Amino acid sequence: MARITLSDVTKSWGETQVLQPMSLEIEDGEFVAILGPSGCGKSTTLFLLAGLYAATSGEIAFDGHTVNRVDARDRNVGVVFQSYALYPNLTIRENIAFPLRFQQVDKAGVTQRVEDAARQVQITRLLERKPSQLSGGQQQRVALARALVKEPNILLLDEPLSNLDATLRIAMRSELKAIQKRLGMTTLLVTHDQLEAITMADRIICMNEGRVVQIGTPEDLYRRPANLFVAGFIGSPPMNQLAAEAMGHTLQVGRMRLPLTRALAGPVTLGLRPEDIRLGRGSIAGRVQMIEPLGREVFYRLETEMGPLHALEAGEHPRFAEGEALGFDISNDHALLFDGYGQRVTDTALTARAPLDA
Amino acid sequence: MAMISIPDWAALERRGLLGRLGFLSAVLVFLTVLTLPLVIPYLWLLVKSFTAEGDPMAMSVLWRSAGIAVLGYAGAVGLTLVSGRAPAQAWAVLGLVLAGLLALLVVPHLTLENYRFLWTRDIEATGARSDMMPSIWEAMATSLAFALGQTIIVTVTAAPAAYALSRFAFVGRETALRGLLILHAFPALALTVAVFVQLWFMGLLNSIWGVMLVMSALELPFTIFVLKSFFDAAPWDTEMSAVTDGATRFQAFRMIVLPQVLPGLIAVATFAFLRGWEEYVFVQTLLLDNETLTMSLYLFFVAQDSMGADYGLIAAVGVIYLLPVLVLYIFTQKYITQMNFGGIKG
Repeated sequence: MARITLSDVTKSWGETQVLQPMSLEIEDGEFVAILGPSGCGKSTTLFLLAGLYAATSGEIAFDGHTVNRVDARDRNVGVVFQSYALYPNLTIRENIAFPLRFQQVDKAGVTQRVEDAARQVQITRLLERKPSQLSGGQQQRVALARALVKEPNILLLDEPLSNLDATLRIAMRSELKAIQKRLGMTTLLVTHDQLEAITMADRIICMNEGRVVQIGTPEDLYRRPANLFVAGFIGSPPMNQLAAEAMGHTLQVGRMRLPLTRALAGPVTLGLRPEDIRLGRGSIAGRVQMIEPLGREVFYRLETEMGPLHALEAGEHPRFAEGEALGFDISNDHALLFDGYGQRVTDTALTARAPLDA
Repeated sequence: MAMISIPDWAALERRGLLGRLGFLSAVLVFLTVLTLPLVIPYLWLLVKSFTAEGDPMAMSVLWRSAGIAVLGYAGAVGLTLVSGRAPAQAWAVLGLVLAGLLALLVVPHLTLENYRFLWTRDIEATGARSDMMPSIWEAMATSLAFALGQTIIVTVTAAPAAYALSRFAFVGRETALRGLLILHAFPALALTVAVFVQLWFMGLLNSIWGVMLVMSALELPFTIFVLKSFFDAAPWDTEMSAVTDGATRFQAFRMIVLPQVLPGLIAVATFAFLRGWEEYVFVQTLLLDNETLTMSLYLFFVAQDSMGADYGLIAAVGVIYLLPVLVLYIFTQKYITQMNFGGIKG
């Protein structure tokens, strides 16, 4: 169990700086996800914590003690690699027992702890096999058991679910979360899958191009994204982003003009979640271009006065037909405005009043 | 309504069967013809080593053995083709027939006379002082020590070199890899004089250790190159994982990486051993007097008889020379078949 503190940590490979100065704090027992597209520096951050990479500058501390100069082998972190990195020459039992070889644990203790760890991830029947005889999902469980067996301070998971099929991924997601809550271990999950981060983590660190873009709860990132990158990265289907022009208290979006609570000027972007577009009851005019039933929801592509929009509505059957004209409304509470630099404007919003020129 | 032509399934089936049989037999004939010139010398060697020199039956024993070998081959091919997987009884019958033919036509004319060098040094039966003659057992021991020594030097040196080339991105890595390839491509014989002079300066001329070092050096580029591809195939992640599990870099290498490249190590060790076992030119050149004799030199010594070549004796020495190689291959072939030659990759 440990509290992790990063202060101005950077990482460079030769001339290229892959990690801009990064400062953050992870509480003891917290489950934090680092989310970002590939190459954003999230795995680098993980390997810095594990001690596999040395930080170029800055300070990494566990429970307030600087660990920059502590070897990876002494940091007592459990790592689950994306490839699982099982030792092909050892049986599953020997794989899980491997970390205990470097600790003073007697033989009975090793057997006990290996079996406990195996029970946690439900692989007790597989202990005598070799890794090559296991399916991907089973290998993933073995990797997790091996990381858990040494009772690490910190559990680091590098895209642990990315090599599993869709059904298994959903099952492992809740299982991993349950294990983490049960053991109360500080856990860092690296993923590019926003759904994984949202469903599992207490807090999400969103990264892009080597820097932290936003840190917050899943709801913060979904409802109050700091900028257009986070807004676009989180949510599926993604947020509608409409180019708009602010003129004082009025916002020009396509042929529409909407009132603003506070004066604003210049080009802005209006962000609307697809589910915040309420179809069939409102004064904004649009036409259905295409319908995609998704099972429990229906996805609409609309051509509207404001521009092209994507809308999502609960229900199994579409309420509108392709080509049908309809009126709709937007939930002002959830509409987001981003300035010319892509940063969210926090002190201005659409008013709840009916749109102008409707 | 148009007539739907019904395909003649039976005819198509016959055509398919004929096509498959034709293809199979073509492949078989081609491979057989290709293999024949490779197999004949070994058959000759084996039969010759067991027939007495000057025996009028010698030639016909050779023909008879060849005939039995052909019969055995044809029988085996036939059994495999006809019933796919022939029952054990059929194979037993074939074996019995072959053994019977051998016992009747070949065995009565065989002799162990040519193998006399195994128990006496006086191979010409001159009655001269036999301690003057070289012993096959000493030659065998020297060759074994020579080949084993070279194997150990090569693998112990090549493993860390290949590991470094596979894992570390150091300056000049690409150049080193290319250099290795060029070194392997050079004809080693071009170096003979230079090596001779160098060994003389080092005081290792006329010493088996000197030849061993030279041979190891010549063998290293190829070995490093092959081993590197084995290290490439052992994932980085497993090593990193071992380190986070509490192992030192060296423990991770020894406990996790080395076992993964073990097949590769065995394969290259086999090749190094064989190179040492068969070496003739450098031992002949660099060992000036005939005090230390390897198997290749012993074979040469036997062949260089002033009384005229004793082919039976030469063949027998050849068979003995071959045996250890055969035994080695039986134990290591499953590792050698895993070998591949990795290119220069990042």
